[in-house]
Amino acid sequence: MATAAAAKEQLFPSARRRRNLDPVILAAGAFIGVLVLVAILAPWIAPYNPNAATILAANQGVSAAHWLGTDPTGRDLLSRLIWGARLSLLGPALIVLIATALGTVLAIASAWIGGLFDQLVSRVMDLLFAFPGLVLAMIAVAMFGKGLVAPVVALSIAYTPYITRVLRSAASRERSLPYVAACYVGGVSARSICSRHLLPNVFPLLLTQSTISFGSALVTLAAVSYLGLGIQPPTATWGFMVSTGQSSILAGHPAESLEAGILIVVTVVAFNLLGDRLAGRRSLQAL
Amino acid sequence: MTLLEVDHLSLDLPVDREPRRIIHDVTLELDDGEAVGLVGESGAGKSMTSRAVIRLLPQNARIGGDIVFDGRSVLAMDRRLLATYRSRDVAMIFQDPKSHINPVRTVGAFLIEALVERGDRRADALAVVSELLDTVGIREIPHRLRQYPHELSGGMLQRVMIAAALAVQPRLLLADEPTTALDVTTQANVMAHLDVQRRNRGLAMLFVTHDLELAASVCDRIAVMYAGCLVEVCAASSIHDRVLHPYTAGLLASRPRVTSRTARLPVIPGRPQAAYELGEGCPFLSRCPYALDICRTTRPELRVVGSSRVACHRAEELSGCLTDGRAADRPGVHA
Amino acid sequence: MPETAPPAVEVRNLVKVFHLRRARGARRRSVKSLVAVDHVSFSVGQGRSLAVVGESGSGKTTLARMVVGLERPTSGEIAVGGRERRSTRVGSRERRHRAREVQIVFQDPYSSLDPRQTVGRCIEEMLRLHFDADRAGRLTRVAELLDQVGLDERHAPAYPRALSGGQRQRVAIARALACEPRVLICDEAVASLDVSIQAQVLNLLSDIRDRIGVSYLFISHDLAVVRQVSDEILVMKNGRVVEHGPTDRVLDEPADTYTKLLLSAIPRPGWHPVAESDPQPVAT
Repeated sequence: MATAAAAKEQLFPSARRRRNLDPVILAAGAFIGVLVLVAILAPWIAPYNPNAATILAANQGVSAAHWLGTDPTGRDLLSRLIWGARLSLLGPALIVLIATALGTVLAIASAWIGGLFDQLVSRVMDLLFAFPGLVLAMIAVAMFGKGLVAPVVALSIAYTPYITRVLRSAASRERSLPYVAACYVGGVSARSICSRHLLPNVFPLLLTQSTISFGSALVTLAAVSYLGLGIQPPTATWGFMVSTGQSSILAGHPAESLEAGILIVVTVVAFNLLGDRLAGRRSLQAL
Repeated sequence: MTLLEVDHLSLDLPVDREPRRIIHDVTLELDDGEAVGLVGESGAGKSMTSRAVIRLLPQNARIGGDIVFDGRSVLAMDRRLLATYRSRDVAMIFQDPKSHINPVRTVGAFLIEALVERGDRRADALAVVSELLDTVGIREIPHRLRQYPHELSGGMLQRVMIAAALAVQPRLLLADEPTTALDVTTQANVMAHLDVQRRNRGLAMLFVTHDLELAASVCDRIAVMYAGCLVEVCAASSIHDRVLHPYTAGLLASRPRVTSRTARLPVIPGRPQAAYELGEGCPFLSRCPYALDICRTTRPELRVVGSSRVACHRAEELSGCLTDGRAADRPGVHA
Repeated sequence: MPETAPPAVEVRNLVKVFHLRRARGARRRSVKSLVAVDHVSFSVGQGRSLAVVGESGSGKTTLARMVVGLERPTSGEIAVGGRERRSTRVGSRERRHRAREVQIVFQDPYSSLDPRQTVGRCIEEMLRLHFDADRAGRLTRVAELLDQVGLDERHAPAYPRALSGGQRQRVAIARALACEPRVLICDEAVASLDVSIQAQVLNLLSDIRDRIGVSYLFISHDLAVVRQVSDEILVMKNGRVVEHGPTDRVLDEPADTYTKLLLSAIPRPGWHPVAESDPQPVAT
């Protein structure tokens, strides 16, 4: 009886390992989860219409009526932050999604095909590295106009090399392992080897890399908004709130910039911590 | 005279914050100038035992028992004493010389480092290591000293490691699988140099290996480890004639021979146990064909039987049945 | 087996030259070329076992990789079961066909299984590619194959990390056998196993040969292992064959000096290592 249990434990040790979760992963994950929930439920939980200006209530401090105060036109800051979460998170999510998809395909194809194709991809990625994401986004806005689409597309392209480079080296390391050779000898098609063997084995790295990219994309997109090149007012985004709040800082009302800024920082830190810890877990599991 | 005493050594390493036993109660002594081969399969704890001798263990390891070198407890040494002990009394030769030599410094710089550190003049140190390289069969020494590790072959690099170990004139050599990564012909050469130099200088050696035959050819005594326990200690010369532990016998029998073919290799059933998996009884219980009830309940102590020491309850009755038939292959022996 | 049956593998004048290139920059100019395999010929009959022996750098692994299709020969011919192999790049269909002819088991049991694939799915993947059985049929076959290599159904849902080195190597053998190949190449397949496990796997390999009549190409540096498993030996040094003959003859009365050197270097009862110096430079 005891030996059967021991044999089972020996064959399936994962169940025990899963139980002790890292508290940092839990905290950061919970924070991000709440943020996403808030963004989705914005119409129901925001206490005010985020765009309803009430001149009489301008620049109010923290109060029972306005938990986080109001801006110079009397709009409720809490409501604006809640509504702002939608586009502030949707933008980077789209960027990371597109960049990861593109980067993964390029990386695995490079690792598998190798040779000239690999060299070509590497050179193109080097070229893209040379352009800061913000510059690329500004060029895109200049060409296609302000809004969400142009910066998101531009930044997706700008973030692709970050994913590609890391994944390519991981995928080509996997590709050189005997299990891939065994699949090749077994007659498994190239597409199956890539999608069923290489991809799952680089997936943890893909997850951490895109999580870390998310934080960075959020800041860059906020910067685009801050420069007034993103979503146009009156729609709220956190980046744009930092920018509009700027003028009232000198007048002694820093709430808008400060609150939006803090939210951006905390969110980015949460994403980076999550990515970092996931990376740490991965290297431990490799042992 | 006893040089090194490993006294009831036990070692725990935490895995997932739970301590995991790596070594169970190992007692072994080495005389001055004696070579002992520590033999076992992977995970038997032989490497960890040799590392414990110079306290080269993970930070969070918990050690029990004691290690006494020349009358002084190694485990009780403070930082400074330990540093002196490591640099003057013992030297270690590792399996993979490439990862133990700084790749961006020349072979010469690596070799004289310990001597210069000790206060020798550079020129003197160079003279010493040049002579040593010559004794381990390396030619074109001035040229070799200026080369970088990656420019030397594995066998040559391992001989450089041996020279480096000898340079500090230690009293004990710890060799951890020094030839496992080498080709057989290179292995023979490296082992021969190691053996000759060790004998000429009267150094004691703890030779860690998985290869019983290799250990028997260069050592005075053989200590066999299984699952973190020492199961048999015997004279190297008698390893083929009179083995007492079923595990040692199984190990000898299951290795294919180059001289003849057997229809079917005798095997030890099952797989090697890990030290932490052991229950109450004998560590070899689950794979032993001779196990009795007492083997299930009581772990056998290492005790003197004839000229050997063995940890087996049935050593007396089994002695004779376990003798390895291979002795007959040996030239000049016809029993 | 009728006398006229073609050999399981036949290799004629096989050559592999590697062009070692200086990293980036000098892409066109090849700096140095290395002849890894130099005009090697041999054949392995149905159900026979040939061992290719040599030290590191002898070209034995490159030879195996060419036979199994992981490297393309520079020149020379390979025929498996009488069917010539093209040395050009091949597509999935041809590879599927070849998979039924030759399979390989690698040295390192730790990296030769996909860490994210269970044992059962690993073997099933091969079955699904090569046979038209339904899932139930495949699962029965998986159990059969696991049984054949000394494991059982309980291991099917396990991931490789839960298995010991010897168990993993058994899974790798089961995966190779799943394709029902004519030839099984063992590239140092027992070299990294513990002695007690090595014996088990060697016995297993000889059982498999008796049972299904597969031919072996055994790549090894270990002459004792080779004595146990092979009918014939091919000794290689620096890409060339230095001796070729029946196992007993080569090991009992070696003709070549290199074979003698290899034999004399093996630790055995009464053996003692002999020291030699590096060759003295000519001009001193």
